[in-house]
Amino acid sequence: METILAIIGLAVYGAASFFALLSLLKPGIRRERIELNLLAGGALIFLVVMVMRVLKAGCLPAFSRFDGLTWYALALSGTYLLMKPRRFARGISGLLLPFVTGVLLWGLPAHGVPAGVPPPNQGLLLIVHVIMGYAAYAVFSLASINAAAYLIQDYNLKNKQFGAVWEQLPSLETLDHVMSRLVGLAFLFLTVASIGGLMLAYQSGAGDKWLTDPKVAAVTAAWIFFAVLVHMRASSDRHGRGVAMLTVIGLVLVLFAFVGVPLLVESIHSFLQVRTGVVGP
Amino acid sequence: MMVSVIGISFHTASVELREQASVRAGHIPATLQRILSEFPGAELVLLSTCNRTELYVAGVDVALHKDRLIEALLTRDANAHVAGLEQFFYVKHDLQAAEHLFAVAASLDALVVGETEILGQVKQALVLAEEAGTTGKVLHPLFQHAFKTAKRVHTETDICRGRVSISSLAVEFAEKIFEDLRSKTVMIVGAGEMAELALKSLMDRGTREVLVLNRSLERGENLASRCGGRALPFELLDDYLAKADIVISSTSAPHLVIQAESVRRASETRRGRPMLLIDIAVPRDIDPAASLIKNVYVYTIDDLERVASENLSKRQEAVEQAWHLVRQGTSELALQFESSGLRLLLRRVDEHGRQICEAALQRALAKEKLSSLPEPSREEIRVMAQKIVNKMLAEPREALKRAARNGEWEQYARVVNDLFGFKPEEEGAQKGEASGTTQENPDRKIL
Repeated sequence: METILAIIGLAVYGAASFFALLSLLKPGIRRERIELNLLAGGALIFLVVMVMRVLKAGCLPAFSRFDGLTWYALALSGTYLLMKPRRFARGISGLLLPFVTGVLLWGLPAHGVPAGVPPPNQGLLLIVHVIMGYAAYAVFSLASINAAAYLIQDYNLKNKQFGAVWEQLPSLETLDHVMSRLVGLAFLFLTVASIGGLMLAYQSGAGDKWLTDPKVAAVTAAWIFFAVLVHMRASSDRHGRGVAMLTVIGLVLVLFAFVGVPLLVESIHSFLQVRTGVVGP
Repeated sequence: MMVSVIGISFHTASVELREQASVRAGHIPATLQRILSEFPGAELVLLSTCNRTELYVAGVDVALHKDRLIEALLTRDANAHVAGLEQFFYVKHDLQAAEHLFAVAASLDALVVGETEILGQVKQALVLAEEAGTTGKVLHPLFQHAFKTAKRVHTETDICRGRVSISSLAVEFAEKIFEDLRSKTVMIVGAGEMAELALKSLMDRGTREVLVLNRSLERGENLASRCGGRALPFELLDDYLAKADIVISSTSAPHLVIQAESVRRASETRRGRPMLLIDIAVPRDIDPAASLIKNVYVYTIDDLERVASENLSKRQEAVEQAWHLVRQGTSELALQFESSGLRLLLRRVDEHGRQICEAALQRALAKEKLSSLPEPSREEIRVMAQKIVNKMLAEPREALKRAARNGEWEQYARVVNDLFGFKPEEEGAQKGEASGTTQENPDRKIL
């Protein structure tokens, strides 16, 4: 049942991506409405799947590739749906939805048994750590997608390409403002998640092992990167193409910390599943 | 339907003549009242823009009173009359008038096809007519139908996509770079006419902070005072460049006025905040190398003209589709009109036949020879007489239905009215009766 629902959900996301790309190339209110409804429908289906997995596991499953990527995709979709009526313009979904669909597609083959949390680590702190971690990944990814839209719009304006994409994407300044706020929010979430992680490490008594963990190192690198970005924006008042390019590069760091590290090296975060791609905050 | 339009437009008259015929918005209600006093009971809407002055009329035989209407339209306050324009007026009736209105509202009958301002002007014309109390059950729904059709044209075709004037394109570019034009500073370099037009478009979008730099400070001050800006000596150009979000340059200098190096320094001071530079001068004022600087966007008059021309071509491609929607809207209106009118006329024909039959029967049965007939026999005669009348009217009924289907409704309806001696006022009364639901369904009011 779970599998069937997940496949249906993925198909719905695929359809939403199709309409989002279509809207980007040929704008239309009706197409945009269909795309939004499909996205909301797809997110709802995956949410049901995750609730079923929570019930099956008896705890929050967040550490298998399927669970990790699904939470990440849901966080991205949710943030987008929340922000859509405010500042996001239609064009962004043309970049976001294919990305989210790709993420879900990658996670689907690994949908096996939900991976729970070992009893010593269960508790409110872990939940805060996990939720804040996913929120940080999602919000920063959204900021990066926004930055990519900025670079596309900048290219269009510089090269005088005044086609449908130029027409659909919002103004540079709008994209810059949204990007700035999302980066700030993501930094806050990641800071809370990191503090939670430190406290969990202290509680578990694992000591120095956590400090040398590749996942912790990658996330720390991402945190420093965010800190530099936030500083550039807040204190140095930096804007424009350069900052947008850094934000896109930041996505690579985030994705590496999120899925790259568990796939490439052994991490202390892989305490639940072995090998087949353990992801988590 | 008895709707007509009588007007003068860019198709028939030059701008000088159109200016004379135009009526300012503030004077429209009084003009309508004056015409109404000459044609009591008429419905009137007056649309007056820089490209046309048109009077939409219902309830008046415009073919008969064309000259009087034109005279009334051209009469100004204190009975001053604008003479010599009569020959430039055109008249359209009924469905042609409706189609014309739909095309005007949809911006198909426009100097620049697809400019949406006209729809607002048509709406304003209806509002003014409502204020003057000169609209009613014919023109109000006709205009509502026009708005509906115009909306369809604007949303379902590319007729309004992309701007086509240089000044509006400057705004379009600015809106693709900046989030809110109200907080932006515009620098005008050279107080040329084109730059002033572009500035006006930007100010219409809320721009308030304006810096004017001109070789002649006096001329710069003139422009600055007109737009509520600040005039600066030309020598301060480089100092103030970093403050400007949008620069519009249109000097007649034979050399470059804004150097790339100055722009680079300004951009650095702005810490990556974008700058829009619009060069509408020939020869160019802005160093082309400035376009290579990060976060600086430079457009020349050639770029603007190219985009304007592309947008215009796109609009032209959509014209045929837009006309199809206008014709569809007119057909829908005609269909509603004809089906409702046909129903009314057939009912009147039937009623007329029934009355003749009943009167003849009354007279015959009152005579001595038939008065003793039993009731069943009387009923048989009544049924037979009604059948004869129905048989006689069957062919005319079919002919009317065929005429409605073939678009010849108007002529046939007139002939039938003449043949049976139906008076127009009776028809009007019946129509009013038939459209008793006019408040709920405005489209039916016209019918």
